[in-house]
Amino acid sequence: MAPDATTTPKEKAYRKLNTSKLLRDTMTLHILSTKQASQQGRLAWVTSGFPVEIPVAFDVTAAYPEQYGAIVGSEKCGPLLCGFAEELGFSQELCSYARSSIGSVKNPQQSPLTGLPTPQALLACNNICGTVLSWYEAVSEMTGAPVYLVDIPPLEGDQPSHHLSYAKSKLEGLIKFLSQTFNQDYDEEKLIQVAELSNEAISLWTRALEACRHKPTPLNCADRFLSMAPIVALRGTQQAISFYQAFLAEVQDRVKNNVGAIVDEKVRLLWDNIPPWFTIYNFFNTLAKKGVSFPADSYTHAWSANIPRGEILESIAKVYSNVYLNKGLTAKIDKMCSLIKDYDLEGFVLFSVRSCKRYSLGQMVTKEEITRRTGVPGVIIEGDMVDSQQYNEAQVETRVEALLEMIV
Amino acid sequence: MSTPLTYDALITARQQEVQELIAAEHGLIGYIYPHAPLELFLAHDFTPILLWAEPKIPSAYEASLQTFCCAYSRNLFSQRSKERLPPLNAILFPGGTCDSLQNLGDVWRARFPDDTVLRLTYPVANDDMAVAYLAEELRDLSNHLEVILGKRFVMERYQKAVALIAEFKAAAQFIAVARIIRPSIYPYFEYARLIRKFLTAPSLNMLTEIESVATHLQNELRKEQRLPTTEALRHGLLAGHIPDQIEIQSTEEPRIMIIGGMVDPEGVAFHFNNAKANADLEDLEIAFDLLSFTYRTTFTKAPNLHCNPFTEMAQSILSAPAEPTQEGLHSRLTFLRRVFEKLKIDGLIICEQSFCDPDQFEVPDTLKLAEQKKVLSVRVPLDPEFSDRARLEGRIQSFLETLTAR
Repeated sequence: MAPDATTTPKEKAYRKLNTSKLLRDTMTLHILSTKQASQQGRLAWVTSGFPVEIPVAFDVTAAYPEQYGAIVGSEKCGPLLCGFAEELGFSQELCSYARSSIGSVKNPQQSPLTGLPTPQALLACNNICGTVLSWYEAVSEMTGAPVYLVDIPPLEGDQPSHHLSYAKSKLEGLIKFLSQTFNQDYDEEKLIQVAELSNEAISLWTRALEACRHKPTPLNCADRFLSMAPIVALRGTQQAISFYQAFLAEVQDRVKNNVGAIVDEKVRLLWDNIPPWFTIYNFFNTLAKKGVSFPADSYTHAWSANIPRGEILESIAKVYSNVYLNKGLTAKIDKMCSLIKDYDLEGFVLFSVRSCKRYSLGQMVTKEEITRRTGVPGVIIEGDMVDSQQYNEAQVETRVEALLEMIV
Repeated sequence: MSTPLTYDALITARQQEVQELIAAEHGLIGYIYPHAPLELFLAHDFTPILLWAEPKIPSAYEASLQTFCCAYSRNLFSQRSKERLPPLNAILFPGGTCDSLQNLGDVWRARFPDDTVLRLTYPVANDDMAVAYLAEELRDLSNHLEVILGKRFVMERYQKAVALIAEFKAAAQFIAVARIIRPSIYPYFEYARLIRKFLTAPSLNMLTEIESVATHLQNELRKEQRLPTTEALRHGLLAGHIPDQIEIQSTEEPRIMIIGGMVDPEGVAFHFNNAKANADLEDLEIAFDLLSFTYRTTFTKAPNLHCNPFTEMAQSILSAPAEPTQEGLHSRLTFLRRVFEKLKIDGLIICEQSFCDPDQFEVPDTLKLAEQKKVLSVRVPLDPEFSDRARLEGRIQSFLETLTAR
């Protein structure tokens, strides 16, 4: 795509955040802490929707294989690591986060950061997809680390009492598992404190996301996808709060001074799903040059619910049961329609991620329903978040162009 | 019934059979996941119909589902789009078993708003709280059946249903175990056919047919003085293990096992039979399978009638053995190791349906274990719409030839 005539050749179409360096430093420290925790026998691998406040309250450090998958994708070594898993017999049809993670366990020396440090426990919660259990059980066979599943079945509508009781029982089971695995007693007061820290970080993050209602948006899609790292990996810690305080201040400053994430915002779109990590800058910045911003997305808004006051385990069970990926297609469509309305968006891009069935299957219905309800057009583009072999750049470009023609 | 000569002939014969089986039925509820509560549907005076994939269905899912939806889901969606499903009062989708079927239910509701779509969400764990959770899900489903479809739960019907399904399972278990003891005692194709017919429309007539086969095999094994071993193995498998005293007699023929998920066992048997005929190995038989619609269904314990029906049904469902939609890969591998050792398995056919996450994730560890135990294995892609069946049979044929040459 050619640069838009309204931007000079020397001026970038997008603006880098000043807090990028703080983000990098924060995450580097986190990576170092995971290595240290592994050496000390206190590291758990954790799924992104896991009630991490509980292991944090046990002084267990969490490492996130999904986040590692994003690094693998960004480093453009997805096909290599996925290939290692395929050599073991894992089908190319399986989730590329899982394949790259398994590939890095098999060949850490050929993996970015030499893979994630060896875990002492594998903590999965299936509120985001069913794949996580199979994935973690496969890793368990390779590493010997035990798996604990917080089984939170999908919901339809409001959470019935038997669902809540079951989810809560799984959290009680988690506490027993962590007590035994890490030889430490449960401290409810400490968990409440961790939950408060988690809430504070989520509140700061949510305020930053909501600031994107402003025109021009202070954050574009890539900004949010990169800046969500601490809310995923450091929920319940002071480090997350420190980062998001600085981050929110910069976002608010941009709003106050009418400084957009992209230089010349003309079209505002919604993004759905995980991004193609291997081309995240290229994709969003190329569109930025055309004046296209993405003030909202369905993915980074997933970490936006505070743990309510009350009996702590029940509160945690409620929050983690009601993530919208666990609530079916209608809840997701409702969420996306409200984002389109609240952020005054003119269209939407649904990224059909071959690896992620829970997130992607249903997007054809979603596309029709969102347009019917909101009147704005959308497009489905296809690919994968890590495995660049499943991504056809020219085809994606053509489809997005077609959407823009409908809008502009 | 002998194996039809062509796959088309098999499918045509089956379609006619399905029509006949359901023609006399009123009130049909279709289901997909093997561990549906058949007793509950029968208690509400509905006949549960297992919706099999239809290999000859023209593709009609593309406007609603991506290609990475599992092959079985795509096939069912195409059948519905082409109005090739039986006239159902409702269709039951499972929740919590896999992402494809989870989302398929939502897409189905959106695309076919006039259909009555029911959902039963399963826990992945298997403990007391999981039983309590599933019992409440079953109670909710029962209430839906009464409120939406107007038929109430009748205890007498439930008791008869429990007996019907329990007797079917007992007979099917016996046939499966008799075949482990002596695979040539009854053709696998016929065994798969009996199971398929019963699950298509459970009835006393079909039960009688299965029980007469089981009785015949019982008499055979009694004559051979193998009945105690057979019963010990059946009870052991029901409890999830293989007793130490089980000794399988060595035979000249290699012992072959099939593993996989929601594939069509009769279709697998059909291709196996063609492959062995092509290889001139007519005496070969499949000894054992760990497929969803045969082993995993029939070795699920029946509910007993002493306690709360919903709790009993939940316990029954969660007793499904070797089920990859539940947690416990390590215990499944331990069981498989024991199967390889004690049942003297020589060859393993791994049936794979594309984009089936729960099964595909287990394949590498299964392959590794097979290699450790010196069990020759082959992976067979078995999508319902798979068009190149000659190649598939060629693959199995090569495997059988290699196996017999060892």
